[in-house]
Amino acid sequence: MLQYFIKRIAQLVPTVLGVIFITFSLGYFGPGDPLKHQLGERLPSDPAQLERLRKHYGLDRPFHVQFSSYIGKLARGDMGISIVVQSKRPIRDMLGKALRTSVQLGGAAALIIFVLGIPLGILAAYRKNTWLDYVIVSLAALLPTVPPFVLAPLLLILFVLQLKLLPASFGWAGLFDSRAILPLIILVIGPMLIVVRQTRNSIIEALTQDYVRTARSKGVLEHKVLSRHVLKNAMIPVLTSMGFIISGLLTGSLFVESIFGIPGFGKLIYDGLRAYDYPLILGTTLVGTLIILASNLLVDLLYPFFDPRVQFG
Amino acid sequence: MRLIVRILASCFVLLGLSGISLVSAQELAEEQVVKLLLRGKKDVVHPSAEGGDGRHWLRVTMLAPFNLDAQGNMVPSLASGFEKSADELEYTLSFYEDAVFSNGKPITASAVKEAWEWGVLSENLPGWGGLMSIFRKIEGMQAVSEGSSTDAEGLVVIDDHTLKIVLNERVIGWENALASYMAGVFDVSGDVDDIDYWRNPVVSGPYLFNWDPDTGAITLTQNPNWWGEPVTLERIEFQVVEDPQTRLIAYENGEVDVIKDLGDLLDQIKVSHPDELVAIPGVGFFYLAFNNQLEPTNDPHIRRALLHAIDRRAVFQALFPNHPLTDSILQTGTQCANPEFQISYDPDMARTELSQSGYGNAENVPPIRIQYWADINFWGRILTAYQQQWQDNLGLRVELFGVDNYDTPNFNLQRDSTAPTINDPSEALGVFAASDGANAAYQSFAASPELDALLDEANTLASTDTARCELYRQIEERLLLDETALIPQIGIPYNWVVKPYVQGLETSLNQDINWDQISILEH
Repeated sequence: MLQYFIKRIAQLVPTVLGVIFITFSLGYFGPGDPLKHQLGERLPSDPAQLERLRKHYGLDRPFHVQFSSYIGKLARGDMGISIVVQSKRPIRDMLGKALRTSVQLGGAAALIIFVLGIPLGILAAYRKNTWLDYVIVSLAALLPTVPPFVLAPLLLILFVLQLKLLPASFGWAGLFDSRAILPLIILVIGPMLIVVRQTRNSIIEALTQDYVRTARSKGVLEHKVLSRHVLKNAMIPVLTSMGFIISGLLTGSLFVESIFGIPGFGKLIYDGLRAYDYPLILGTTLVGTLIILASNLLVDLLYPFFDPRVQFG
Repeated sequence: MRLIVRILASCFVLLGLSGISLVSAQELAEEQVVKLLLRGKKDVVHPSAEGGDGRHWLRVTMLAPFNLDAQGNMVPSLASGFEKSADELEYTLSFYEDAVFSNGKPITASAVKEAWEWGVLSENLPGWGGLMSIFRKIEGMQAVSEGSSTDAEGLVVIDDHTLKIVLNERVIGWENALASYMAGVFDVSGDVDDIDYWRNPVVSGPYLFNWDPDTGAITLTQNPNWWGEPVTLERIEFQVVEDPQTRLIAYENGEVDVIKDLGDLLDQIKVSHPDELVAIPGVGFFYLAFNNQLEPTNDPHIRRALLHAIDRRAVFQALFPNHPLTDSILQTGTQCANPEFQISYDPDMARTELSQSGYGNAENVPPIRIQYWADINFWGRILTAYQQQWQDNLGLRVELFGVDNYDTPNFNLQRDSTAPTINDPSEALGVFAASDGANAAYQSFAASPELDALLDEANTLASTDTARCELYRQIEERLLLDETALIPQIGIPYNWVVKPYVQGLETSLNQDINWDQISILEH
């Protein structure tokens, strides 16, 4: 396993370097300029000021100089400084603070998805073609299609203004503050229903397999059939989805964090992209890539525990 | 007898006073805290680079020499007053002698000079200029900004509490620059180059500033070393929420006391909270700027045809009825503004102008390209309506481009805005009429030498001279109807939405709030 792990880590290096190179090239050669974006619709009082700033941030240097300087600094753990979003603040600090918030929010959402999504999927599978199954399947088909920027105001109006059950959510006062509830609900709804649907389909398929029929004919109790035979096999596609969902929750809660003003990783990505703050875009892309690669690796490492046919190597 | 009368009179006075204080005590809420939601993100917190929502806390944390009151008058803040030389090239400021920073250190003229010299350093300014946009005419400031000098000769320390400012060129109404939030003063002897300094900077005002990057919250608390009149509010809490609907819901749910609306929900708020709106005055306005260096808008007939072919009133009435449509460059609040002036919607006149143009008819006119800053969706809707009207009334093909910045000169019209940092017609009209004005320099509109000369003539006149306003109005009219350098759109549609128990809130041209004069009533 250790050998497999080392091999996989080694395989990540060119992927990460490739992502850095592509992102850096897009930032350098693509349209947009962080300093000009700062102007917005304002006119510079002194056009030479832009050039001075460009020099100050090292943006006037050729591509290969900027790129090699970036890689050199990165090797020392320096991801540069933000140009626009939080002027002159080290990207590493910004990422650290933002990730702390997003890990809490995304982690809690992933837990809820796991704890509620899988049992609901099992329930729908066991009650196949009943009204309960239809309700779950319909919701699972409908709700993930509603984007967060539509869902958020709808839920705000419903829960805050009409039912007066929750406070309006803005800012971040910790996971256990009531203001975290609405963002959590919005984060959970879409992916959870995907997990429900996937669990249901996998379970239904597993229930038709010969080994389940054999187990049942041998008189194995139904809950044991479920836990020992059905669930273990049905979880493999769900596990793959969970990998994507967790990395998505950590890196892609872009709309939710922006709508509710939560200073997390998604908000940082959003701010960086909007402002063409490309040291920040590079930093968030790099960390986002690492999160996705790490979660994929974790899923791959977990496969053999669910399916002994899968071997490391 | 006299003694009895005196005792009775004293009793009345005492009773009266105690009665008043009792009423006041009952009216004031026990907790003097205000919570406020803003739209903009905070990228920098030092005054010299501030162009966004920082102005809402700078007025009470890092004081400029003066503030503006609700009527636009300059009122003392860090400085008690100033004197201006007859040639308007020298300004002598007197600072309060008992003024100290929040760390107890005296605020001297040297401290002010050092704060400003740090503020104008190139690396501390944003691309659009920040403090240098108003201080560039101070002798020696440019060299300090570029790093070739550390001492601005135009900032002369006379004594601990007196600073003389020398300009290298007369600028009418320059004193207004001293009431800008960008001229805010902080203790530069701290580690100001460390970005973390700005989380809790050493301030000069009645409130300490604290920014928590973990929660995104900004909190102002009373400065124990505050040297001026006592303030009532104990704490002011700012939070940034970009989504306007979320801000309004939080306000309606009673979770915050004040929100800022930049016109996004104005029409909705005018209906739901008409009595809670406090309009932010503004002498700036939004407009469409013409490019007269590019076909076909290099032809004044085409520009005039475009001007008269759109029914701006109908478009705004249909889409954003509460937004303040304007026909002028000089807005109400600026000297010489003419509220009677109107631009007509006249499709026949527009067609005549088109036929008189070098193109003769619409078929010969190349497509007209319009760019607008895509960050504000509002303008996309307005311009789409205009696009249809230009098509219907003139048969012209107009292409719209939502962009992130105005980097390209390849446009015929550009949605723009201006807000003169110095509230004077010379500044407002100079943008369009002066040969070195911003419009000429950056928007590819070469100013007419005739109007430039007329502007120079008006600028030499004293502000009390009646001929001055006549000249400025003449320039304005010609800029709009003859030269047609621009098509005015709307004035500033910004408002505070304020709960009725927030007592005494006023705002100014700086879009700030007089936090030091506000109290919270029981509610």
